[in-house]
Amino acid sequence: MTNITTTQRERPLIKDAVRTTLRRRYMFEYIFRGFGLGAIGLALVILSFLLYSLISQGLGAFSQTHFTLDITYPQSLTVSPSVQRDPETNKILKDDKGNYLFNFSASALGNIAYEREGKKKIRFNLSQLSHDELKAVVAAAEPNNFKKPLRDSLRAISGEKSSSKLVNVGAEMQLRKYLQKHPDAVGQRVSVSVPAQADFDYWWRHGGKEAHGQIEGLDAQIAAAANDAELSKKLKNQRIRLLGRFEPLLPAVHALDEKNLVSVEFSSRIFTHYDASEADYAGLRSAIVGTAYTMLVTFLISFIFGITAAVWLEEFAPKGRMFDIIEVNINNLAAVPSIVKGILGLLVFQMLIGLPRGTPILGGIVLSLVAMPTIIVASRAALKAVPSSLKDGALGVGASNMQAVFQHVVPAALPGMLTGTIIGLAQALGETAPLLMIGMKAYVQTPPSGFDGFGESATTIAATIYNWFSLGKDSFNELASAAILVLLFFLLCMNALAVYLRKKFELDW
Amino acid sequence: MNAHFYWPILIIGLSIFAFIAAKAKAKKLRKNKRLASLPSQYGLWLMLWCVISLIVVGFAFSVFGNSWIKWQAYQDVAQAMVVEEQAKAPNKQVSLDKSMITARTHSVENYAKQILQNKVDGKGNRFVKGTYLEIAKNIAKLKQVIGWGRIAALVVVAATILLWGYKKISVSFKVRARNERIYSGFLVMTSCFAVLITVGIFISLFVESIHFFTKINIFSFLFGTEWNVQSGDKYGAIPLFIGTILVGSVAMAFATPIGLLSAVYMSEYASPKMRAILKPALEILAGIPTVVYGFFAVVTVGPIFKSLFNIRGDSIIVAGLVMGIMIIPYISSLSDDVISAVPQRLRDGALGLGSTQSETISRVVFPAALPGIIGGILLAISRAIGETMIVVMALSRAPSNKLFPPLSESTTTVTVTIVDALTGDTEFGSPKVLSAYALALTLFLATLALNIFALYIVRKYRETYD
Repeated sequence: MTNITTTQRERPLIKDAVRTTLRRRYMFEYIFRGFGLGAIGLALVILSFLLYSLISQGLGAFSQTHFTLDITYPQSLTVSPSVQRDPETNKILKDDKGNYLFNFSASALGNIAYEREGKKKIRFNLSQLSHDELKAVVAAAEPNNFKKPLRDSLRAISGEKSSSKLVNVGAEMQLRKYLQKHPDAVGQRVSVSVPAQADFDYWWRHGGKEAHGQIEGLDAQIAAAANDAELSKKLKNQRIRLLGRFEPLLPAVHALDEKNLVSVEFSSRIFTHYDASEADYAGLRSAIVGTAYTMLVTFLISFIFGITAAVWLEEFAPKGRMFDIIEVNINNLAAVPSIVKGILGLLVFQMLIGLPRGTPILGGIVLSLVAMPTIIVASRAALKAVPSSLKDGALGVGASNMQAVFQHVVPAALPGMLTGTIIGLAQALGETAPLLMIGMKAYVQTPPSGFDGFGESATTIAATIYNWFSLGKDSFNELASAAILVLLFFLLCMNALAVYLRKKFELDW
Repeated sequence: MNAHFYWPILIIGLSIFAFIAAKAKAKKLRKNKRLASLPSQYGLWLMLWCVISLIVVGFAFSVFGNSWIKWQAYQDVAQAMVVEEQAKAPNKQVSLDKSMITARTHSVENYAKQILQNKVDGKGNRFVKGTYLEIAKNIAKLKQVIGWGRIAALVVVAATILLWGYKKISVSFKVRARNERIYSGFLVMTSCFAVLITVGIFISLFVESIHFFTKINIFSFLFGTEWNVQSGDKYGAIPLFIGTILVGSVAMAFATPIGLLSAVYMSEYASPKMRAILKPALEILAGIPTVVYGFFAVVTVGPIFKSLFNIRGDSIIVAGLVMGIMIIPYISSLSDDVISAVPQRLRDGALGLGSTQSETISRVVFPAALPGIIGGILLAISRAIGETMIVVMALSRAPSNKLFPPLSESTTTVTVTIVDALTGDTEFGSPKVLSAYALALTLFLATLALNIFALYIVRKYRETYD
């Protein structure tokens, strides 16, 4: 008896055992929970930092520095016949035989044709032309016709020879556009607001505006710190950072600024302009059109193939070895790196079948390989969610298996399938690597148009981002961030549409 | 002149005509007797026959015609080049590099294409002149002939099918079942498309890699430790593999803990309301295109690392961390699904025995979900090694001169080298271009193996609870 009682006393109570470890266990609980919360918090912080940095960099491209200048328009313009462009679409005009279109004869208008640098050019005296002819000539005129008036105007205001570097093609195009709108300005002196050169524009909006005020103080500090080598070096570096390579332009721009002729204005060029080699004139328009063409091809192919494959796998396929092979393959296709899909496009669709390189049709096919696995998986889930009673009902009243599926099950699953399609297309929209493989990165100034556009070279927004980025200039980087904002906006819209479709048409069976 | 470019439109037109004709005949038959199927089914039947056979004929012309023209052009160009070389040095033995002929053929073919598209004046250019211009014009003519031949063949085939089908339509002809057989054939075909793509990738990469391995020994490619294409003609891929593995390891080391812990928190601790906000927020990270991540790495993260730690902006650690950010949502959403799939009664049992929530998770839920989590991590790894844009933008184009570079230095990866080889102005058919296909084949096989391994693990170690 006593023996038993002593062992009972000696055995520790469970309550005590729990009590001694409880503190430690609760501590672990708090730490564990803290780590979980910390991980999510870190992910969210990274997300917001990413979005913040993209937005803060990209918004700058929606404003542009402008100069208001008094321009004396020239009396005559030179035109080279080979660059005749349609003013609306910016496309080079050609006749049926493929000759460049030039619909007025130079000699008939009493103007001089001459050759320069081996190229035929024609000088038109504008005062001899009718309004229609003048518009056509201005549309065909090269922008560098307006270089001299710009240079003269800038020099007259600032008195500096270097001031002509303040403007670029964008300003010349602006003058041409103004002349098209106001044909009466020929030979007149008019006040026009023109965009600044891109690198200058970037510098001016990022601290250059204040540079003139700071530079004198800084120079005084450098002079005072002449004995202190380290401080002097630091201050000199600061001076270089502040001025960049715009020091020679500083007096000229200061003269303009004092007359209130420099302003930062809202710019929508990212949407309205085509791609260009100068950032002050480059925009996303050709890329947006090219994206639309490419995504149309992607949609048609991936929707048809994705949905039919899902229907077969879910409704008709006999479960067996073949089914397994196909299922594994579809899972695998989702995990194949997109660059490999691009190489497939290059080797099979471009080289073997002979589709033209860098065109929406080829790009669309390659991107449909990116979108398709997502669409198949989502469509299968949507089909699975349709209750079998629906199909059984149709079969019971005498429908064939095919009719039951296509007239009852598929319509019920269609909203889910569409949602999956949109998400798949959103993935394809941001894809860049496969497009590099099939040459859709090239600089494309004229966007595709008409039915033939599917076979013309084109580029997409994502490829343009990479293209601009790889130029390695601040001004183009800013444009690339703005293009990223446009791309993210499109993605946001597509995802919102997917959520809306799911919410609106989702049936609770 | 080039109306034959529009043969797909001809197919559509002919098929619509077939539909209308067959439906009209069926309607006429229905006036007297009961039809076996609806009239539109007859229309569909004939239309499907038309579409299928015309597409087959049309594409057969494309594939065979193109490869025949390509072969013809290659022969002609080779002959012209031999003549040219002999004219230059009459006494020398003529030996031509195959890739040079291919390159010249390429420009001749391009010129022929441009002649057809009316983009050039037909006077030739820097590369295409004299004999080559004649060849180009000949090719253009051949293409024209094939184009019109296709149109003729399409019309003949369509007419035959129309006559045959129109005759066949009768009252007792049960057409719906036949249509359904065609539909299911189509469904099977589209499902096999995925298999076809995988096979196509493998075969095309394999064939091109064989070309590469006839020039470079396969062992010196797989086990060589120096990659120097510009000057040395050294094609040892080990530095590229190491670069890929290093960047991928940094990414996984960053993404795995964060992704897993957030998945655990979201599925076990977060209230439904909080979950409804957190899950879409993480999905935003998954939806951001990789080109954006690459831009972020170079323009934002690189400079920060440079000013804070004095590490170069194009270092492995920067690219790896940004790739890690991209991978976090993959791991978290895959693990979230797996953890949520663990039945509630397992948790209830553990909690009922007095364990805390964290003990339930780490000792019951986590082991039960482990196969799925490992599968997810393997998928994420295959994503990391195949990722292209981030590394193309954030890393340098040349491999580091050390075999195992420290993380603060830059190196290059398999995908960067592929992009570099296939986007530059390199000669068509040169070892540099071919090396890209060999690298792509390696990449494809590696991701395939990872993927199948992941599926195997998930299937083998999955606990079935019901």
